[in-house]
Amino acid sequence: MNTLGFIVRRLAGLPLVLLGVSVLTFLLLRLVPVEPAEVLLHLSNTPPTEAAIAAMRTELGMDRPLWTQYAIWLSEMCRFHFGTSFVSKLPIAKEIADKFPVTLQLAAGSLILTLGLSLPLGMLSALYQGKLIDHISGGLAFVGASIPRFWLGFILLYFFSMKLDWLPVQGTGSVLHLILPSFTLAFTQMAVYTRLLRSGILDQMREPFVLYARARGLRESFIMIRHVMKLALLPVITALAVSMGHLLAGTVIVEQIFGLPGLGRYLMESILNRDYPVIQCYALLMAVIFVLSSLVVDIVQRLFDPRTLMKEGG
Amino acid sequence: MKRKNSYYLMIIHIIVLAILTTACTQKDQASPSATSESGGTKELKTITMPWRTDIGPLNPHLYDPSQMFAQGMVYESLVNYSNGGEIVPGLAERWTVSDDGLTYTFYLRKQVTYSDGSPFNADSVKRNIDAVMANKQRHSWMGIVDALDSVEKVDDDTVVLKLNKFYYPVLQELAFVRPFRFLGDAGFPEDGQTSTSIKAPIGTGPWVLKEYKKDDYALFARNEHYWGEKPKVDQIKVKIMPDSESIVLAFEKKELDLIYGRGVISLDSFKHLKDSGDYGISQSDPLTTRLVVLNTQKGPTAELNVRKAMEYGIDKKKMVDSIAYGTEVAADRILAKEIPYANVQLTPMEYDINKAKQLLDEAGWILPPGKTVREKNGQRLVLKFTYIATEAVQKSIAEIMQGELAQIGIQTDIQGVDVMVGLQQLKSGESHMNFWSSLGPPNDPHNFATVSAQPGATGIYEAQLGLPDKKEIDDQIRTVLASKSESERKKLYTNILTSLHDQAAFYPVSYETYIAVYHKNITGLIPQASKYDFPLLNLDVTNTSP
Repeated sequence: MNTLGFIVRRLAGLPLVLLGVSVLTFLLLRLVPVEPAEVLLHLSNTPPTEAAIAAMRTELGMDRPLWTQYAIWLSEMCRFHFGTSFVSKLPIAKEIADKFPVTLQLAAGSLILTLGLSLPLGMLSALYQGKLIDHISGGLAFVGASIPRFWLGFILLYFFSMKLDWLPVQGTGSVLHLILPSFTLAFTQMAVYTRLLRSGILDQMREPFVLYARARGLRESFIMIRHVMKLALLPVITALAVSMGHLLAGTVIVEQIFGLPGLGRYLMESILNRDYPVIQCYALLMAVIFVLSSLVVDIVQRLFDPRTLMKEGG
Repeated sequence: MKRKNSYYLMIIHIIVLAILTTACTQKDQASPSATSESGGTKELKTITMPWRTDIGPLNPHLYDPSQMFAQGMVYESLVNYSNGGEIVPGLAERWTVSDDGLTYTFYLRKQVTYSDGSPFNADSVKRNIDAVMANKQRHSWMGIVDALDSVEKVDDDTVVLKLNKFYYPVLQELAFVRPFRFLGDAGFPEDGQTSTSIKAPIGTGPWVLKEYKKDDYALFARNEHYWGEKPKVDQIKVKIMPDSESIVLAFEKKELDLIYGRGVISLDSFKHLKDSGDYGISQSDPLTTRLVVLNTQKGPTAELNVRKAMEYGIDKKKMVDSIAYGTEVAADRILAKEIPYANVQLTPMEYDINKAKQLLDEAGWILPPGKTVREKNGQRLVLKFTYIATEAVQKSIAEIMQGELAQIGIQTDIQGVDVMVGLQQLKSGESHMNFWSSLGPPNDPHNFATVSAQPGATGIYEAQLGLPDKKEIDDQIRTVLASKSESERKKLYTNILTSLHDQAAFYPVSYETYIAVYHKNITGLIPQASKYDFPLLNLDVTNTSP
């Protein structure tokens, strides 16, 4: 099967995934105690009288039967009307479009840092297995995996913004603002990739094809890059797709600490405020991102490792 | 050979990283940094302060997500609430009330214009109040909405508010930050209804919203059309920073000039800043009361002796001082004496652990030998205490109370919940103890009275249902709100507050104050009587770059 056919087949499943996600989110949200009408009144610091709750329910459309609410919502979604937020009354599509770039920058920054640091570290610790650099990277991975992000973010702020005055505490607008948040997000991810790559390289080095390549008299650096790395990177790429969720979840905390007006913070506030339409849209957006990122990974894997094609029988 | 190659790889990586870093730095040098913005470009005097949530669309006739302090910066009311509870002129120069208390005539201040230069007059007052009343249900928590019949224009500078029934706190409610404040004509949407949105935030207040980036910052500039004494600084920049610890760091780093409000930073951080001695500190009068609502309907708290034992059994002063570092004062009554009608003669129940134990013994809650929890008829004296999980102070208070109550043989199971679940539990009476805060001036004492007699709203009514004289209290509340006689109101409030106090229906914890921390180059900060109006008018900066 060619790659195009593969993509088309995978994308064809997307609507079904979205439908499933939407039904699940819709029903799960209704299980959360306390309804949005009351939350809105409480947020306003006004005692929620019965008249006010009833008026608010009607305004939010929450007085209709559940299935009607879903049907209306679904038909709006099919026409690409993403609705308005219960709280801000602004179109959700616009709010997401405003906030997505911030989160995307943060995620991209953290991805660059993650790969930029974990690839050399993983490689060096594999090449110098048991040596100082291996111990250091092992230690870093251990710290990275166990450190809570909010704490790390705060410590980084304390040293790099307060004590050294190199970077701003919060805000947006320049790349300098992105360094600390990206690093906070990257540090825990880095730990995973360093170890994955290290074990990947070590595994591949023991493979007969490496021995064969050496016997052919190929240069060590050539074997490393063309043969070993190419295969050792595969689990890292798979992990990247899987950890996409982890990355996006991490943005919630990081955006909070560094005051970045991104999607994570938006979601957090929406959950606390029971802003159903926003949460539903967010869930759908995440589903799309997950499907697309796993698709990209599959494509990359097909390119890197022809054995995947053989397994598919293609 | 192998080693040499890996060195190559390492060097390549270092170069790549170095390029990336340089690219980042170079790009940044071109764009202005946060510090230079807040320091005031173009020589404008700017004060930067943090707030934890976005200021919202600033619709004067609606509530959340608009933040009250920001609404208070842009919009004004007919009358204002001043220290001590006195009602003073605002946009109305003076007013008269008819003998039957049903007609209020307001004489508007002349020469007042909105920030866009359009005039503020009787038409404007009518249009705004009508818009508020069109969305009546939304404001049903205010008694005035139920009592207000019509607004009529007499001439350009005179308006009359007609009521259909007497309601004494009309002026207090008009003084509140929302919804009875005034939007310029150009701010009204096409259909004239402000119940969903407005076109632009145009008010008569001292500040104008100049720049706004949702969830990032809001820049308020001095309203050059302002009728009163104009603000001393040119701009107030409100930075939206959700994390309180980051706020403290940014403040210490001088990215922020001033921190004002409650809950903006943690009390530990406040102590840290205060103890450093490097900053100016000021504090408002006690504004709101933090209470623990005791469920008089269900469980052991339904017994008067148990409730009283709690009052006597906890060293409240020590508890509050250890948690709030002076930003809260231990409360010995439901409403602070500074609140109108609340300066009532009451016998405080002061810390006396022996008396607490005696009260429990008398009630039949006996401590069996060798046990730590009292029992009665085989039932253990266990109380369920709910607090809001995200509120650090509530958690600390709950934990200390737990420890103190254990001393007198009461076991307290504390549970942290989501804000809304907490409210639900308060309403359903699921737990025995819940936190609650009064609204403070200008809404108290009448708001406290209203919610005490209002089923299904805040849970305060339900919590009191076990009181033997609950019906009388409710009757007195209904009478007091409609009473025309000042002396009768005084008497009724005294009765209500005394009765609730003597029956220990609430456990008053502390009076909360508003705190301000600022760099020493900031002057003129005097916290206000109403916590929703921020004292930004007289603020000044002696040196623009702190």
